[in-house]
Amino acid sequence: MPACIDRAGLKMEKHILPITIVLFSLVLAFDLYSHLGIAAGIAYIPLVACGLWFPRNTMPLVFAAVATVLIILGYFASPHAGVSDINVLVNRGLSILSVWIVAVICLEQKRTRSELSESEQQFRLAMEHSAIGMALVAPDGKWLKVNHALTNMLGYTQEELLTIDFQTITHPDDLDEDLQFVTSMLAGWINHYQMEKRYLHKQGHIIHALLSVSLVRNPDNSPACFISQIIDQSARKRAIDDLKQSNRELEQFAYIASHDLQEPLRMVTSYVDLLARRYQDKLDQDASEFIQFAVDGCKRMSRLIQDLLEFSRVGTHQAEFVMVDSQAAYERAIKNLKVAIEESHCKITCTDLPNVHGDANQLTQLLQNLIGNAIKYRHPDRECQISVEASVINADKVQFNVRDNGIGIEQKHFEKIFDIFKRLHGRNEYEGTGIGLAICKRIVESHQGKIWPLADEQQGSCFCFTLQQAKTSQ
Amino acid sequence: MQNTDNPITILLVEDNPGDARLAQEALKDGGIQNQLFHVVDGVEAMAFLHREGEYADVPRPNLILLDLNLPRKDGREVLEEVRGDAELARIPIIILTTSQSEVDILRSYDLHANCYITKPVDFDQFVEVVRSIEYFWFTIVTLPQVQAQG
Repeated sequence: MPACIDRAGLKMEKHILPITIVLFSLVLAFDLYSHLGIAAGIAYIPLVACGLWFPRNTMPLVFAAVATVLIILGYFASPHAGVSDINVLVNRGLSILSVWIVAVICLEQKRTRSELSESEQQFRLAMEHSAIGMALVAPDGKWLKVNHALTNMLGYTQEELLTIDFQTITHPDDLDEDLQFVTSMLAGWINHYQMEKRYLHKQGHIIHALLSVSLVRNPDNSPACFISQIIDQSARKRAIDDLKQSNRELEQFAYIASHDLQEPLRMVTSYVDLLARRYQDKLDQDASEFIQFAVDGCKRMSRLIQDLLEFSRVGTHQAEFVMVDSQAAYERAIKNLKVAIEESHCKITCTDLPNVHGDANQLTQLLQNLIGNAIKYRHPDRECQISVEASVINADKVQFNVRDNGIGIEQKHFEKIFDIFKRLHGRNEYEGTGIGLAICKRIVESHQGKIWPLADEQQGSCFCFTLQQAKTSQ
Repeated sequence: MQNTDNPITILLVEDNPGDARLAQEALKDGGIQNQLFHVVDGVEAMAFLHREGEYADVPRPNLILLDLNLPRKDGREVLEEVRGDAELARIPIIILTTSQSEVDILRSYDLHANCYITKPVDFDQFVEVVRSIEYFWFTIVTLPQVQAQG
């Protein structure tokens, strides 16, 4: 056990008291009946140290007081055997002083011991009654001390756990990572670590846990022991798995629904169209208008379903994330928007765009939607200028800004614009279903990023989004 | 150049009556004389091509418009069978389907369909597509001589 929490072992029963009284009496007798008047008081000093045997901290002071009384008594009652008064007085005085010094030293010793004992007691209680698993682990991995919560979690008894090490009950796939952290901590590179890992229950099944470990060092800086806190994640993991499953099902549902809606829609659209074409001359004004509304409605429904399909595809058709050259994605987006760019005479520029971690197609779509919006909502009186910039925020994040000098967006609309099918303008002013930004938000969030408009810019809009840096291991 | 005296024979394999009618109307609008035959599933299609049963007297089609998702025997099987049959293998087959799936597209080309067209939602577009088919396959392209009937 490390010295830091070593218990003070001295705790004697109160039956020591009679023994102490006997000893005091012996020393008194020695003082009174022997002829060594000079150094007689010294015998009381070790007796004061007996105060250490008693649990009460102030015992040494009590004994010191008793010893003082007895030394004074001895002055008057013992034979002086030819020693001058002043010598005897000084010697007795020095004895009394020594007795008190020893008493105070013993008192300090006891106080320190009891403070340690108290703090150790508190620690023990905290650990035993903790609702989460806690353990002390030796530098080589052996379990030194474990609490109830942990033994319950892992299915072993205390005795069983204390004979093995954590490596034995760690899932083999998590062992390497854990050991790497341990090595780093022993070497002093890190002070603590946290990881999600799997333990093997005594009955063989897996326990998902969140582990937090810190290292306690001895005064000479050598590792003393690890303090581990282990939180059972099983319930949480089940909930998360259920949620993921539910999400997957919803996405599939959305995809299938939009897909299956297309066929009947096609029938309606095509035949209304056919009616319009074939019977144009046979229709009166009203019928023509009615058909026109119907055709219009069909076209819009068709676009809505296409957009819903696209929206749900973000989740269901996402490829595995790899390193993506965002410059290339930008160029693909520009190519796809070629016609719109030419018609609007927009000038589009970009800075150096870095490599990111994600799905190349979705990144292209993201840029295409944002740049497409910038083109669509350009200002009628200004030459349309759009710029795409990127800057590295930190080791894992890159931020992109798509800036334009178009009609801008009022701050009060900032929340709405990312909702599905929410539009700020009427169908007559600008076409579109209102799903572009919702798709952008979905793509960015599935890439663990954030997307937001910069605060009210009178001279246009700026949309910012963050993506993960390309992983260097690729 | 196709001889305009002989009407072109097109076999349409399509289970959706709405789509079949649309194809019919579009071909009518097309301007090229054609004789359209329509069957609703893969089994009927093969019977037609082999001139079995009720289809004993039908002509051999110059072109097949084939949907992929059909009951009883689907378009993929029909494609494979036609291409595997020496007598039928030369007939141009155009896959005309709603599916946009990569898998379907690749498989169709692997099975040697001549081309793959996704049915457009818009009727105008559909007419354009059908017209293009007609123009391309019957005006520009030289088709292999069809074996004589009987």
